Amino acid sequence: MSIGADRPAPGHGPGTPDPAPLVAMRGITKTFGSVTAVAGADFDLRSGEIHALLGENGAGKTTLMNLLYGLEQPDGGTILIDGDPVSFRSAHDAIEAGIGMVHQHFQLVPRLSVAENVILGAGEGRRVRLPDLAEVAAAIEDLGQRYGLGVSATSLVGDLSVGEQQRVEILRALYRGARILILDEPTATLSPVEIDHLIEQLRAMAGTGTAIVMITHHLDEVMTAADRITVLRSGANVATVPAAATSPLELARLMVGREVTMLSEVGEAGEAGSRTGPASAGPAVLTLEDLSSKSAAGTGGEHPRDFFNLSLEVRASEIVTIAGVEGNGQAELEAVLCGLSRPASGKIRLGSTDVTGATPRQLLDAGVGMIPADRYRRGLIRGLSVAENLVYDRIDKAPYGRRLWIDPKAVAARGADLVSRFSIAVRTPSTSASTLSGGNAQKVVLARALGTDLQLLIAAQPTRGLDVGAIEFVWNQISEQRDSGVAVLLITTDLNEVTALSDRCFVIYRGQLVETPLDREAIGLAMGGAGSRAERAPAR
Amino acid sequence: MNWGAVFGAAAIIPLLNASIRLAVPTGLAAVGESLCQRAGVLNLSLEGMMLSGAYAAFLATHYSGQPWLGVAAGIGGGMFIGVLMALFSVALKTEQVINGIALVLLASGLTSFLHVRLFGVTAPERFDPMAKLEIPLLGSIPGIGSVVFDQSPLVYLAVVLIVGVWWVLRYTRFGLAVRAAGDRPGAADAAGISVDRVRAAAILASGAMAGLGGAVLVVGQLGLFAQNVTAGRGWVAIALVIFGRWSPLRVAAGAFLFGFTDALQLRIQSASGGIESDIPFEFFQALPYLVTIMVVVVATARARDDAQPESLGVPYIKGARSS
Repeated sequence: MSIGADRPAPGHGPGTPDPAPLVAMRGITKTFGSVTAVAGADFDLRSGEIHALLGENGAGKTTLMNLLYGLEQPDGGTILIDGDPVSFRSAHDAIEAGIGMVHQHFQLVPRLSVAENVILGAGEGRRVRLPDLAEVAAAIEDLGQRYGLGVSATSLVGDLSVGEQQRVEILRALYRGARILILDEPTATLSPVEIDHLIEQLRAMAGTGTAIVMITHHLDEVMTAADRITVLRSGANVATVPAAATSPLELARLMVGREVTMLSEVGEAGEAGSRTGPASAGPAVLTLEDLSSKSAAGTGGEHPRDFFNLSLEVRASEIVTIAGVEGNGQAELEAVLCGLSRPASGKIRLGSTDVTGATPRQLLDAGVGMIPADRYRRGLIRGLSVAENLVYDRIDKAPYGRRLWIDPKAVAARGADLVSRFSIAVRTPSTSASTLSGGNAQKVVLARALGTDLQLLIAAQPTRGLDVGAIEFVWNQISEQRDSGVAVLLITTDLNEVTALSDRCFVIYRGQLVETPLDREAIGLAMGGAGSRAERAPAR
Repeated sequence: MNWGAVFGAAAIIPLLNASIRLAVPTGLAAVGESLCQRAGVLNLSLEGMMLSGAYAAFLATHYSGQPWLGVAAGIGGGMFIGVLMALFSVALKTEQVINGIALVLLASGLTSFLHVRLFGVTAPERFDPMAKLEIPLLGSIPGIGSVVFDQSPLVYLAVVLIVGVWWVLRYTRFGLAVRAAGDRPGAADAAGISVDRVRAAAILASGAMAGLGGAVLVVGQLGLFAQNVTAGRGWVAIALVIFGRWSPLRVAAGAFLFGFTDALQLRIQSASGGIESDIPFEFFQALPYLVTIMVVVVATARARDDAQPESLGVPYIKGARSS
């Protein structure tokens, strides 16, 4: 979906501005190249509150906070702290002003001790010698005790669990005198028990007057932790509401927005006639049995990208979707299904053949088509021509290649054929792939995968970043494959795509699958993890 | 061959004394390089830094007659290459390996060219290497005194600098910033450290030490300059950083090993009858390098630790998302 292409009018006003908020961000804009990440956002923060910043991937939440923390500089708008305008050139300036930020990917040096990490960069330039590390460690442990954030300050950070590392990040901010604490996706890497513990600690900190911003897309945590919630969509704030006066359902609606409903209508109209439905689905083509990327035995510290005990069947002539917010295990699942990583346990079967641990080569030869999520890294070789990109997965096979040679004529012919069949807009098939626009690049990936007879298609984020026309093309191609008898596994973060294409839908959340009805709100809630605690708890 | 002349009681003290002396140029460069690599910069220009330092030291001493001026010029010569390395690798974020190799070629070509332009084919006269300075009292300790405390003042300076690098890495804010910048530059940046400044400073320090190493070779030992006089010592120094697992004191110990082998081969060469010997002298000259390579291979193969800085050789581009 093209972000910011036609932004809807905000559904709610930004709420009544505070008389004197601790932080006030007004009309903030930030663009990266041609992408507008933040488009005129307002944000207020009061002392002693936990303020959740909610939004889908790419809504601009993290960018907005990076601007407050001085990691990036806004293109427009003002930031006021205690009513005074500030302009931070670096994180260092923001730290001086009493702001601390805990990033989603922790910014710690594993080979340094907790104490060394805490003083890293603090008071830079004032004194040559480091302060006495034993004293620093004692002070950190004191601070930790006050807020219930116990860690051993002399340990190496690399030896700590994920939850402990997060405590180190928070302690570092507090040690430097932060009265404004920004947490980017603080629960993404934590186990449910750790999450409850964290929320308790944050409440205690807010109780002493610290202002806390929590960036998240998890609706249930927002409801338990936050005082106020600001929802961002396409880089602008759509609403600021008190947690007590809202519901997960309303928040999901605000996050997804009206514009999305419109797009999904296009999708539904486009595929309404061709849909055959799950009733006509054939025999199982892809079967996952208890598949895990990592042994589920470990507790608490497992990587958020892992998935656990997935069982699933994709039959011929159906599209099964795995929906989910990014970072819930689907990238690792894609890698395992495409033969790029090995699962830790479980089985993958193609028809009746066990293909667990098969190489990409073997999978391709068995009739598995792949549309990788990262089309520029895994889907294309930008230095090669379009025609070469269209055949490189079969370059060792007749008629394109034999022994050491390739047959340029056969390659060119195949290129010309696919370019016209998939209406790829290039002057000639020998044009370099680096010149392709996003939509055409994806058409090349699609043409290579679909230009042969398949039994299974694995499509990961097939329309990410594409414009409406290209999206429709991709959707039509995928449903045509389904109609011609191919089993399709679609991995996507896009709700519209789920409703437009799926015959059956699963949501992946923290590495586990839940089957959901084909209903936008039900899927949206499951993607946010609302009400799924009971289901995800046993595996931990 | 008279082995007594090599290992005999009377020979061992001069042998160890020479080991230290010969270890110093390589040791200075290697310890400077370890600082640089801890900051995340794989500085392959080290040989060029040494050579540039050596030539600057030679010119300054030749024209002024002041060896200490030569030493200062040597430091400047090394830093000159350091400035270029920092410009390319830190400011312009280009590939460190390529920059390093290019700068070695630049220094090699430039010094040879200047030398021929300035002095033609007839080599200029040698000057006397800097005299030894026996430290009072300490120098008269039997054994140790004559090995350690009867050296050129440059050797004492080198020891102070080498220990200094260790101290800086361990006990100063700058050292902590260096360690962070080499492992997780993104984390260092987020903590308010300017990764670029830290890395540039580390490169310049490395240039100063390598340049001093080159100056020690010319001013403290040879009293002359010849084309590529450093003879690969900069490359050996890079290998020693790996051997020493990026710890300055262990790197310095590696340099001593190199110096010892060098002293030994000189001694064996003269004991076996110099050019009269059946064994070609090139074999002896190659010995320290061969020993170093073997030791590094063995030490690296056996090393189970992951001491190598995590982001070694990776240009840090602010805001670029890694992993």
